[in-house]
Amino acid sequence: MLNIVIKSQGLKKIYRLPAGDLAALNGVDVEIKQGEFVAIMGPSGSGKTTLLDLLGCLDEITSGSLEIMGKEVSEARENKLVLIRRKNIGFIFQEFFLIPTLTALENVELPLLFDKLPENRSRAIELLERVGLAARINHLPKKLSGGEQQRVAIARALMTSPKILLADEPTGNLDSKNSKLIFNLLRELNKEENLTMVVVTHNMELGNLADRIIFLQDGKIIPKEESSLYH
Amino acid sequence: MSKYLNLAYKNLQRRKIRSFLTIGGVGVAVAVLVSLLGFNAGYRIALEKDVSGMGYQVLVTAKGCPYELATVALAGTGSLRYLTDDTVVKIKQDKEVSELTPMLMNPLIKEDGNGFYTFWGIDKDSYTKLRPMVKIASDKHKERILDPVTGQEVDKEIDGPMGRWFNAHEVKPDEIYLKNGRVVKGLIVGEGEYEKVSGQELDPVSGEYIETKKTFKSIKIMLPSRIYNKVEVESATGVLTLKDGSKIKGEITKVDENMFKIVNKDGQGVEQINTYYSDNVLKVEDELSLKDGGEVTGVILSEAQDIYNIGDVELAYPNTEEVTSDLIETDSQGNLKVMNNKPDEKSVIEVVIGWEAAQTGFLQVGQKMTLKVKEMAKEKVKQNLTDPVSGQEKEIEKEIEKSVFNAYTFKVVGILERGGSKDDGSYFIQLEDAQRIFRKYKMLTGIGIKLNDLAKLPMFTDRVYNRKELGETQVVSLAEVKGTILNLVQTAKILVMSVAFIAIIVALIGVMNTILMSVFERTKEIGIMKAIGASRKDIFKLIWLETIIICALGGIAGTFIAVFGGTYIEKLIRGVMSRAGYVPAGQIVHFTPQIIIGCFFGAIILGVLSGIWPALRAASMRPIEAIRGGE
Ligand SMILES: Nc1ncnc2c1ncn2[C@@H]1O[C@H](COP(=O)(O)OP(=O)(O)OP(=O)(O)O)[C@@H](O)[C@H]1O
Ligand SMILES: [Mg+2]
Repeated sequence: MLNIVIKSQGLKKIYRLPAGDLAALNGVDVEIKQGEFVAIMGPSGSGKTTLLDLLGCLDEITSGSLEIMGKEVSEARENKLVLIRRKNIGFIFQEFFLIPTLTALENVELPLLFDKLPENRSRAIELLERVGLAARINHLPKKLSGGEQQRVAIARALMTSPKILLADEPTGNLDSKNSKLIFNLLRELNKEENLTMVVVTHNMELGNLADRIIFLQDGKIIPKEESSLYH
Repeated sequence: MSKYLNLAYKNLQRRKIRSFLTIGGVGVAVAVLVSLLGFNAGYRIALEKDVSGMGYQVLVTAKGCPYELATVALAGTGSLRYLTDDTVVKIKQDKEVSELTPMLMNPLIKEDGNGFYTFWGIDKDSYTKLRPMVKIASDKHKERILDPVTGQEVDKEIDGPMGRWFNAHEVKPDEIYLKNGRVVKGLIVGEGEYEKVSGQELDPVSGEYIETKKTFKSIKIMLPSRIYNKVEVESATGVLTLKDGSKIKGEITKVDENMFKIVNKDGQGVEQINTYYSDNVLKVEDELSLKDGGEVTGVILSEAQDIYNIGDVELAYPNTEEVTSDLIETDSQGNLKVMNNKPDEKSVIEVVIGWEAAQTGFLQVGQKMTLKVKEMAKEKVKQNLTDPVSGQEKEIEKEIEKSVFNAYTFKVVGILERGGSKDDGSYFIQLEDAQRIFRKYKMLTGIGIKLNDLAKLPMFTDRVYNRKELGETQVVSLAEVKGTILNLVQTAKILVMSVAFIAIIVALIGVMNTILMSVFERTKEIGIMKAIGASRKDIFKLIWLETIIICALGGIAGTFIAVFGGTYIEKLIRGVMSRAGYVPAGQIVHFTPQIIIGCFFGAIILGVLSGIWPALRAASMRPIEAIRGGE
């Protein structure tokens, strides 16, 4: 049975700027089921990152409702959000964002430190093996290629066994070959672990590998046909 | 926790130089603090040891500033003032005095100009009675002895007492025999010439009487210091008993504060009483009664030394006088009858030296050493000058000062046991020898006193101050001395502590700045950590820990610097302090475990405090802004 893990209604994020209010998200309704692989596409500035941040409980919501794993989070503040984030969500960023002083293995283990979970080195090694970095576990990030760094980041995101993996242009800094590899890896993980995956991408080819694509424009979801990207 | 430590440690490693400098800053602040606290603890202990090592509880000196007196009392340095040695007899009369010992301290500048030998002229018997801790050492040692067979000096290994105290011997003053039969006793310190009117002569040219002048030889002699006595009586008749037993009866009148007059009623001639250069003691007898039938309030006079004219008694400084040859008796050959009992080249002064003086001077019992005592002497020189008006050459006479060295030979007869006080570096000789060679005839720098009951010190002090004949004396108890010094050091300490406080504030700001900088640099990283599950508390903990690590490492470094550099710090403080005066002989920087542990924890508290603000800043960063805005 397919559970709904993310559900939003009229989700709004309004930035209050000196020049006036800017609605980065202007009423977004999404429903994402467990195990779904969803791509978010849209032109630059359309609100993709904003949406992902809200879904990932990284930022506070201006208005609307958002349920993560059946829990309403729209009213939650930073100290509440961190708990939901910790338990349910893994993040992957375009710039990888590894801690430069820590080795691949230490980076992967890091989330456990904050989650107050017992150390689990074997799982960290397993994950690194899973993303194909068995031979690189003690390397510092600067000794790894972009693709490898992103794979470490994926392993790190998986460390706390989240239900949902959010990726903001995970292949944006990679060449097409590596992009493909990363995307395939995400797809595999999605299939194997029944992991819900929301991926922002500019690449239509990659987007087409997803179960479905959500098109955004000016902070709103639009039908595929209306998207400028599609034409 | 260890993971947090690891993370924090790795962050600090990222900017090695910056972390190192910050740790260094904290280290210096902690080192300063540790040293100061060490000094605080050590100074008091050392001072207490010095004070309790004195043996006597009260010191009588000439009046001076209390700190100077304290310095003289404990270290024997400072600008010296003198008492006359008859003060001893007078103070001894006080019922509260149990023991006392006269002392003359004289620093002798070393020939190389670096520091000085501290010489103490002491009365061995009373000194060792009051200060039993000062005793001849006993150990395996070498002595220089005269081999009875070869007659050569050889070093002999001996296990036992390191020599002995010096033998008491008579030291004669110099004597000038006056024509009037009196003998002026003192210390001859120079010679000169003197012009005196010898008579009148008829000038064959003008037909007028003119004065004839004659040049006499003059001998400068140092008499006992005279004390300014205050005459409280307006007028009285009394009897003056001279030391030689003769008496003068007369009317005593006050001339001014420092002078009074005795008018001889019995019509004794000038010759008879003119004890111009006598060191006889004038004494007003008890039978003295006032002319008006009233009572004498506070009798003075006992220290009058010179009678200039018949019946005049003047008490004045300075204490060298010139005796002209017309007053001095001559022997059958026409030579002036003067006995100069100056020690000659061959005479040897016995000296007992402190342990350290022996070590640093490589001296052993039986060895001789020669020291030069520098003196200033005045010399008349003739100079040719061109008169600016007349353009003529003129011969003028000028008096210049020049230094003269007198060499004295000392023989080390004993070495003292190490006592950890200033005595270790001192040289002890018989009081009279010291007065002779340092030209402090009949003078003392202080009298050490032990009272029967220390609680009666205030009464004793009052009595001494009320006895006008003691002149300008000062009674200092060693408890007071300690208080004075502690007070003085306290003021200095407050100053230095504020410096330490500023150093700590600077360190605090430095640490805060470093951590804030590293927080801002890592904004994005902090955002990421939050994104992957770090709460505010986690971030706070991490940054706080970094600060505490910096300060703990700084604390360790600082303690190490202080403890291992302790001897240098000691030397430094000693150097600075000795410039200002007295420094206790013992170790003045003393690190107790409490200080070290305390300062280490102090450093950690510093970390705790300075970390709060940067850690709060880091913790309160919104994840999204940290990630997106941290570029
Ligand atoms: N912190 C902020 N303050 C003000 N405006 C913001 C902020 N973050 C985003 N915006 C604005 O919100 C809108 C949506 O931004 P968002 O980053 O979500 O776009 P995006 O679709 O991810 O674009 P891109 O493809 O370039 O990453 C933009 O107009 C952006 O300028
Ligand atoms: Mg974006």
